[in-house]
Amino acid sequence: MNATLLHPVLAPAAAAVPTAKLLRVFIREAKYEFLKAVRSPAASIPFLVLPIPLYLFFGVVLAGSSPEVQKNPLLANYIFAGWCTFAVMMPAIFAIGCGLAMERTAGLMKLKRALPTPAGVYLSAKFCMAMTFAAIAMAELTLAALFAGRITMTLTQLLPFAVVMIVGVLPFCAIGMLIGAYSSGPASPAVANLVFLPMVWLSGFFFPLPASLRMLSMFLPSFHLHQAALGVAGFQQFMLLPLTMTTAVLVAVTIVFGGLAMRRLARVG
Amino acid sequence: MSRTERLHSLDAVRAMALLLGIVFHGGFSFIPGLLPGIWATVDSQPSIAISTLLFTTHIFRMCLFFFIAGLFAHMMVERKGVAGFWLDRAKRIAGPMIVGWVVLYPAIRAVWIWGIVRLFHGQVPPVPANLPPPPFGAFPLTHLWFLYYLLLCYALVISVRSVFVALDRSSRLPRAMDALVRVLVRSGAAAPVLALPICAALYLQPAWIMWFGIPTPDHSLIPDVRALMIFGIAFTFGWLMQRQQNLLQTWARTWPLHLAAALATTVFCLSVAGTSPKLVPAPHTRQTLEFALGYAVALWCWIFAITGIAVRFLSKESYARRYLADSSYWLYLAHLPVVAFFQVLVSPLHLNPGIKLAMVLTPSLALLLLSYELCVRYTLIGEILNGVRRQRNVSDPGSAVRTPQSECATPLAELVDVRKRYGKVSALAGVDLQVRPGELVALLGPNGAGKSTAISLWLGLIAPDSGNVRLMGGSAYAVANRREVGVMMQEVTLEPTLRLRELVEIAAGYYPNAMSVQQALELTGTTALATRPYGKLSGGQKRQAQFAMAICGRPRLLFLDEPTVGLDVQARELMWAAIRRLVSEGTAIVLTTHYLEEAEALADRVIVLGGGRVIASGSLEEVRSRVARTRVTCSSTVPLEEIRAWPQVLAASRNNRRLEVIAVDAEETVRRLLAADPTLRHLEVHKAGLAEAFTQITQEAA
Repeated sequence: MNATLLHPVLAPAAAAVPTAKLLRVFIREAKYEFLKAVRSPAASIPFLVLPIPLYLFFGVVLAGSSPEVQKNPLLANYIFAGWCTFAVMMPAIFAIGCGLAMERTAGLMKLKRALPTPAGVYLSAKFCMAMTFAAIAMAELTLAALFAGRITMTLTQLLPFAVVMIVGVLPFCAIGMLIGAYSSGPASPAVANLVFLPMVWLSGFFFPLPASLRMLSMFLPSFHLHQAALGVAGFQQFMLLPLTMTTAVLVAVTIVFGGLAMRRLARVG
Repeated sequence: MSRTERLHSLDAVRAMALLLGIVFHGGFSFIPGLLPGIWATVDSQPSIAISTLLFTTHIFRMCLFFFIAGLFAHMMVERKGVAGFWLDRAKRIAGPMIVGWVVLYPAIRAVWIWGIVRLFHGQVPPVPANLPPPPFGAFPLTHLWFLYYLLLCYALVISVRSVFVALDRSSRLPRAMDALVRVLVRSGAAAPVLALPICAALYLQPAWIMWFGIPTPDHSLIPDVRALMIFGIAFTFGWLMQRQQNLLQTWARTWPLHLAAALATTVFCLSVAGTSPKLVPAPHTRQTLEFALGYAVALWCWIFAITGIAVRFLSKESYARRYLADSSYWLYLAHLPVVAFFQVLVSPLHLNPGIKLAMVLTPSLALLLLSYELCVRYTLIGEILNGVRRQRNVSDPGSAVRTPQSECATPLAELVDVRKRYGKVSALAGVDLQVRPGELVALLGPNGAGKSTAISLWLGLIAPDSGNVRLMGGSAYAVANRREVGVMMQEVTLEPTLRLRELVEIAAGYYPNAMSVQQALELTGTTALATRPYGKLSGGQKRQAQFAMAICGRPRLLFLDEPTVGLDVQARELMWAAIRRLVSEGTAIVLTTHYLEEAEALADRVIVLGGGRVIASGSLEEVRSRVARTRVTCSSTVPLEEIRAWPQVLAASRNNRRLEVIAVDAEETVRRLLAADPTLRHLEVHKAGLAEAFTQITQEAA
């Protein structure tokens, strides 16, 4: 109890937080957000470990020996892109969706609102966490693909492809936010799965969909991310939609879902 | 009370609307394609940039003014009554309009003639002889038309109001109106819905010059029905909004949306009407209709955005804004001849139009402000225009720099007539509370009394249904105000994997003058727990951890919601010591607690809440003496019924032959007891502790 407290009234009036300090606040928040996830391995290991064996088994061993891939070696890239989309969606939807819902239920979000948390710090730290996880998963998948996957991408194709995948996490962050903003903590894993699984199975990641289902996939943001990544890598033969359109859909999803979530969070916390 | 006090943010908005008017008139001569004679002069350097700016501000500035005028008018009618209102308006609106016109019209006329003569280099073309005679009621109102229409709005709205009051004694209609306004504002539908009648009025205007939007009704004493309708709607909406001022907070949250919508619709309108006016009547086409709708939506979005921004950022008192707000009425009244004079002066110069606009506005505003300071603010004119005459003396609390004393007296947190319901349950039913610097206020009350609701309101977590919530003299939603506030909430589960020092580090990072993590831990006696994950702490240690997070920012005001729940005696003593130390160093603390001894040990002031109302408030002694209870216990056989019949006795009960009597007057009770039972033994008399007082008070209230 020997700490000296400055007389609070004599302390300089609460000034606006300077930008450098704001940046530090943001970095600190992002760091601890990431640490939080790493320190609960049961939650984070699936994001980092699960996609690799799944890709190797389904994408390389099974699909690789199929007659279609034998006939058209470029299909290996298509399958690789599908598993990448799968991997980057997961942390955004589950870590943000369930994390936010749990923290809301725990009253933490309320405390963050009561504290002078600079606007946006709390959520953008979560975005950063999801993107970091996505980047790590992407790197692992790429390594696996380069060793075993027979992908034909050059470095100049692979780099923009990876950038799109990582930035493309944002619309899924918005979806995760919306899940977190509306569902309660205990219900959130179920809701997240209900959102995640149809996006995985109906987007045609693992095999080109029959025409009857193709219409359906147009409504799924995961399909658009898959298309956008293939598009910037220059695989015109896989493109069902122009690149500009898929990009526009992803941006719109981010804005609309993110906006709805923020609105809800601002009201109920 | 809440609806009638000074609203700094709205004062600022009104001043802005008036100052934008000065800018509008100052830039008028730079509009491309202006015909000579419309204005005092036509500048040699027309500018699309200036005309775009003018177009944009002209969309909303008059309606914004009428909206705020409606708000203030309702406030004044509530405060002064209808008769008092008219008396005030006669003095501050009608008087200045008449006197102002008499003085200003010749000056305006003179500058106009000078300007036109200069424009034509002395050879003014003759006025056509076969002009139609002016229509009935024609009168050059000049820019003072807004006062005339303001008076018309007053008359209309007040007569409609008196009809309502006469017909609808149950006041069902006002409630329905309030509900409608609430739904419109909260759902965000206010802008598109209110735009519809304005769109219709614009579209149906005969010979409508689209570019200038709402026609300026400055040429006739016969009211222009459509213009009156548009300004009347803005005025009425302001009037209705004042009945539920807390709705303004909705716009304080949604201003970015409204601003974005305002910009988008304005761009659309500009794309239709062009950056410079086409002086031909708009055809009745679909495009005109779309333009009218876009224009009307833009108008409301601008109003909501600007009001929202002001409520959000300008709700604190500022001397400069106060001065500008006071002076804006005078500035606007007097500006026209001055501005036009400088326009005529600079019109032939070959300079960048932006610089020329500055050459018009800077000296005009300087002259006008000087005239305000010298001839208006401290004189009879200022008294008439602003309702008060300022004193030159700096120590006048209303006018100048606040003295330290008044600074100290400003409450750090305030609830003014606040009501809040959750569904059918009324959590707060008209509560006034104040927390002043350096005091420790204990909020007491049973569960559901409204203690946590009050704190949530102060922290901006929820919005009141009505009434005002202030934090640090400003909005509870402003992050800047919360930088001086620390908080320890109930029922918060922090991230279990983060360590205590990490949690404090995160919280401290949000404050500008935070103490070090080490200091915060030492002060709360949690240094030993620094590296322990939060999830591994005991219940009491978790409270201590949250206490460390609450104080780490050196707050001026600290909210502690049941801080000592689950603490052992030693930890509680430690927290009490820390709380006492904070108070002794000037921190104000609001403490809610179930433990009465906690309030007795710490509080300067006790506020007892029950059923959403303040039941008792004052120092410990005051609350105790308000109930002035004594408890008399003894072993006696006097029947309870007999004792209960005595007038000074409030309650009597018997436990294991031990009689307990709660009474107002101890001496009289003891005397009667002894008289009734001479064998009485073990007599004890207690002054009631806070516990008894508290139980008593809350039971009485229930």
